[in-house]
Amino acid sequence: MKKFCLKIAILLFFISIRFFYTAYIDTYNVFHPYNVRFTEAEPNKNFIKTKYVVENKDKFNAFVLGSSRVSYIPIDFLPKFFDGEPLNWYNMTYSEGIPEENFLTLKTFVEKGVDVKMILMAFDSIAMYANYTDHQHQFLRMSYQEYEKNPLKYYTQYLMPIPDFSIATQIVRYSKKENIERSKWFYEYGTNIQDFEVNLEEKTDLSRYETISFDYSETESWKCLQAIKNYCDEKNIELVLVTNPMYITNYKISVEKGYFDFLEKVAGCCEFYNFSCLSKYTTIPNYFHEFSHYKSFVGLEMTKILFGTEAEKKDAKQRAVLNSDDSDLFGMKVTRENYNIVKQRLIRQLEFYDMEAAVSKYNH
Amino acid sequence: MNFISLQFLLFFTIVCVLYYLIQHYCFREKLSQLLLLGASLCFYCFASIKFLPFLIFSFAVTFVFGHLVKKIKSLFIAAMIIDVLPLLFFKYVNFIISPFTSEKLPLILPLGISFITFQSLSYLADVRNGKIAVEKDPVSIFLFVSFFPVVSSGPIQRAENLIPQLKQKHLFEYNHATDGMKLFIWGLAKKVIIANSLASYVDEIYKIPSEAHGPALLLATFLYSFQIYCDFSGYSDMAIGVSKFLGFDVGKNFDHPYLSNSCGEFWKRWHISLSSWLRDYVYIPLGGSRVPVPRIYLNLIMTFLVSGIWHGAAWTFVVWGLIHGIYQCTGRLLKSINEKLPSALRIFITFCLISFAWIFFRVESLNDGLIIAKKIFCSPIEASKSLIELRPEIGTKAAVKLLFDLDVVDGYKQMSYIILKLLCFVFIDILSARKDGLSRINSMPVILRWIIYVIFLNVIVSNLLAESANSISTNFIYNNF
Repeated sequence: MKKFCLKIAILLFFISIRFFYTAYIDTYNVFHPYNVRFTEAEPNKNFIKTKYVVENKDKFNAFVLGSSRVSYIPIDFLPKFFDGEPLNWYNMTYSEGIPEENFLTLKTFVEKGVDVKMILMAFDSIAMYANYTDHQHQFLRMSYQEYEKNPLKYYTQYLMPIPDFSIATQIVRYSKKENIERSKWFYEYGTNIQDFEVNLEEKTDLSRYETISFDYSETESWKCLQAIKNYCDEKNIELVLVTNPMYITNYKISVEKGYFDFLEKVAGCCEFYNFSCLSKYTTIPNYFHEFSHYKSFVGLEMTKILFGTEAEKKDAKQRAVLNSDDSDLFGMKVTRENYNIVKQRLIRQLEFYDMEAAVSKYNH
Repeated sequence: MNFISLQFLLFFTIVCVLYYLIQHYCFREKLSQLLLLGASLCFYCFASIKFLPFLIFSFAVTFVFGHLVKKIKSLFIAAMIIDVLPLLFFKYVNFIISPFTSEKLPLILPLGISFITFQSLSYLADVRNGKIAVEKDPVSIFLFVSFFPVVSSGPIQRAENLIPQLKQKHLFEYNHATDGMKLFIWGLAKKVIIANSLASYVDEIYKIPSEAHGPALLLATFLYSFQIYCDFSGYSDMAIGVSKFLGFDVGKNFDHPYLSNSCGEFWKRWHISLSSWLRDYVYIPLGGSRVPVPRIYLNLIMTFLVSGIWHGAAWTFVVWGLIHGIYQCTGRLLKSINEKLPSALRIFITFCLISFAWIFFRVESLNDGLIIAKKIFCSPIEASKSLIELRPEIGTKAAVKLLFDLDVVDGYKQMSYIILKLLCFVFIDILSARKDGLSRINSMPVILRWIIYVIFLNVIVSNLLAESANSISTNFIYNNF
């Protein structure tokens, strides 16, 4: 019996080595929520950021919500005060963050005692195809709320995949010192180090701006936006809802797949500021990192339109303008009442835009 | 309680510790039996406490009629009818009333009802025939019908094998324990690594057969043959392993069935405890082979019809049984021709015939079975026609992907992974047919053996975690019977 028990113990030890290894390499960083390691694999930011906020509940009271596209909104240029109270912003965005998850995040914050004063939330066509159920099968996106339901199950799922060799090598060689600044930005602001430089002379690789055609399906996510609005009204939270600027290739596909219908449903229940239109920024590739993510400069211009003085707003809109007819379209407030007019203008804008000429212009 | 669950792991650890403490320090036959009986009842009630009355009924019938049949042999028919009544009621009443009403009675099949009933019947028949002495101890009988390692899906036990073991002292033996563990893990691997991944393709293709392509149905049918083999033999290995760990030998249930040279041989290697039961308690009492030839064929067909009906109350199972009956008759008729063929060809033909029969075992309705059979027979024409048409447009790779409906498993990569796992299993299965798998692994050098254990267990645990994350069921196919 002793021999048997000893051998079982040895066997269990050997088996557990693989799990210790997986937890140590921790491709998605869920076992190291306070020590984010930047490798080529994106960490599960939904989990890490939510956990960080709820465990530091007095540190932040204003949040940027949305997908990773919104991660380039500069926190420093967002309002510092609301109703006379200071605001401490945190960028709670992550890959394919969708309204349903954002709603859960917001509720988690409030339920855990975070005193949320203001929300800046951006959405776009991602809300039309990404969904919560699919995300719960993706290590990169499994939500914090699933962890709360069953922490043991949540962690065991992350013990399952054997880490890629390249990630393992990066983790072994990872230097905390070299990434101290990046790590600080991640925890202090929830975002990357901001760089507002845009070099229009810089040559761009246009292949990175070709959009993948997504499988769009009927979505109910506009109802989640309505739920967020109702929740914010109930909890006295100031909500600023905006759509993201989308690079023209991405924007056109989204429109073909019914983006305007989706926006109509949203406009039927909440007001929002629309940045999804053709503008100088969405037609020149240099303002985007690739087809999906706009640069911090664009984010900065958006904050000026949303929170700047009247003069700043006017200037920012003027800078974004593509032609004189559309001078107010970038960042225009959309309501149930004016949606149809806005939609007609957006359609006309697309009809008259000479895509081929633009492409040849920027095809360096 | 599913063998593949943390509850079972905990339950079995506690039972083992208590069991061996009793065996080593205070052995009393009754105490040991009572512990096993308590464990068996817990195991049974874990499925649902509502099933307990059936188990008690089955025990009472076995015990009481065992004594009565010993004295009055003519009571055997009455005992048999009473013993089979719950099975008839729970399993077949909806099937029997289906021609008269579309409404079904909301009946839940008690765990292991078919296995328990057959075990009880074999005891009564053996007592009647004087093959075994009547068992006077009710605890032994109760334990015989409810012994937890085999209660849910066999192997079906004979009283002459199990009851004497229940009375023996089983001291902890290192070799028994490790062999039991190895068998359990091997069974677990078959279920978790092979059967479940095959199911991901087969289930999708068989869901709506009319929408699947012929080649896909053909592939799914062959894969199902392996799925059900790995699923059921995996379960059996786990049950045998658990019994072995406790010092019990519950017999073999599978012996490389797909290496059979004929359908007759297949049934000597597949679900051995059921086929030997049918041979001893249905085929031989009907006259077996000691009757005129036409009667032999009738007996064979009758026996396989019973087998089909035992598996489930549906016409699909009746057809499955009938097909096997016909295979047996044809096999007898063509025996001399079959024996002249090369062994590999005979194995292949047998495998194809068995796989064809599985179609009717797997489908939801006879109509689905006919659709699949028709599509499979037309699949070579469909495949060549479609390839000619589609290849210029979308290329060979995409055309093949389309014909085999590989999208249901995320394309080529996942399917190659499934096939690779299956090939590894087939290789090991062939190796273990030549020399018993346990002796083969036990004769390996220690370091190599341990490397295999660690890698193998890691793969199993990873698969288990993945399946649990994706909510893939770990239920066994034969738990439904």
